[in-house]
Amino acid sequence: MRAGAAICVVLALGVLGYWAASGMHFATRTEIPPEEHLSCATAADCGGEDDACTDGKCFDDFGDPKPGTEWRETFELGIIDGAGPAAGGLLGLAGLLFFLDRRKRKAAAS
Amino acid sequence: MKHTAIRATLTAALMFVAGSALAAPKSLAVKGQADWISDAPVEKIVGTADGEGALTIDFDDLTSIKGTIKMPVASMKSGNAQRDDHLKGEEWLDAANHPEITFEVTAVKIVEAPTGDAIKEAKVEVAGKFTLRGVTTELTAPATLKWKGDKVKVETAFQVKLADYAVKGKQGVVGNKVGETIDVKVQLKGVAK
Repeated sequence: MRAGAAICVVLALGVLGYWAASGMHFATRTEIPPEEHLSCATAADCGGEDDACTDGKCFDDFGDPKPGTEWRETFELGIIDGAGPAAGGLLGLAGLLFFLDRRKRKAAAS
Repeated sequence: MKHTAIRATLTAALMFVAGSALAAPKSLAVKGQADWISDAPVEKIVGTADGEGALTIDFDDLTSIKGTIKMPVASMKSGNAQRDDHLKGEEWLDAANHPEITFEVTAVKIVEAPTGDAIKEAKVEVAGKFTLRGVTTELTAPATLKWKGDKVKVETAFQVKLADYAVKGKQGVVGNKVGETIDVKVQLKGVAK
């Protein structure tokens, strides 16, 4: 039981670590905004017929940096709707398992 | 003698008509994207919305620009589907009853006269009626107009204070998780015809 509790604590720390590594967002992000300056390999990647691709970045027909328009899929765990409940649940379970283990040991000792 | 006078009169009349037609305002359908940022203590939310509009533009007299820009609330995205649903809900932008955010241009003031040859650029100040969630206020925003032939690009940035438009959200959320003021940046392009 104690081992189960320890696993739960490790898992909770893992979830919080993943949340921290994901950018510590408040709410989970499943998409990230379009690029502020669209990347390209060729001018065709930029979309517009008069757009240019220079040094891997798109420029519109006015010579200005061209922003992207497409949202990109991602998964960045949020604390309020992902990491928080998951880590909280795991820590709660770990606490319960520790408590039950301690009660069992006490009962066995007496 | 008489024929020459008539010919000269007709030529002058034709030149006047042609000149007027050239200088006449052109209709401009624009399309693009609005980027918005809510920067609150707990969370920074970055989102986009589609934008489109119909304007009339006279390149010789930018102060005569008129028209309306619209942003469908349904097109707003923030990277979290649940949050997007809340955003369109009754407590926030109430998309069911107010499906569009609009800006009607009523006056344009030249801040920097047009410069450039192939690509012309002018800085202007645009005043108009901004409507969000059914509430209309006067809004003035700086804008940059660029045009190359009949291709036109409009860029502007302004702030929207949610309290001015009766956007209250859930209690305690505005000013905490959602900024009291939203920064909006709009880029639209079109071809004048």
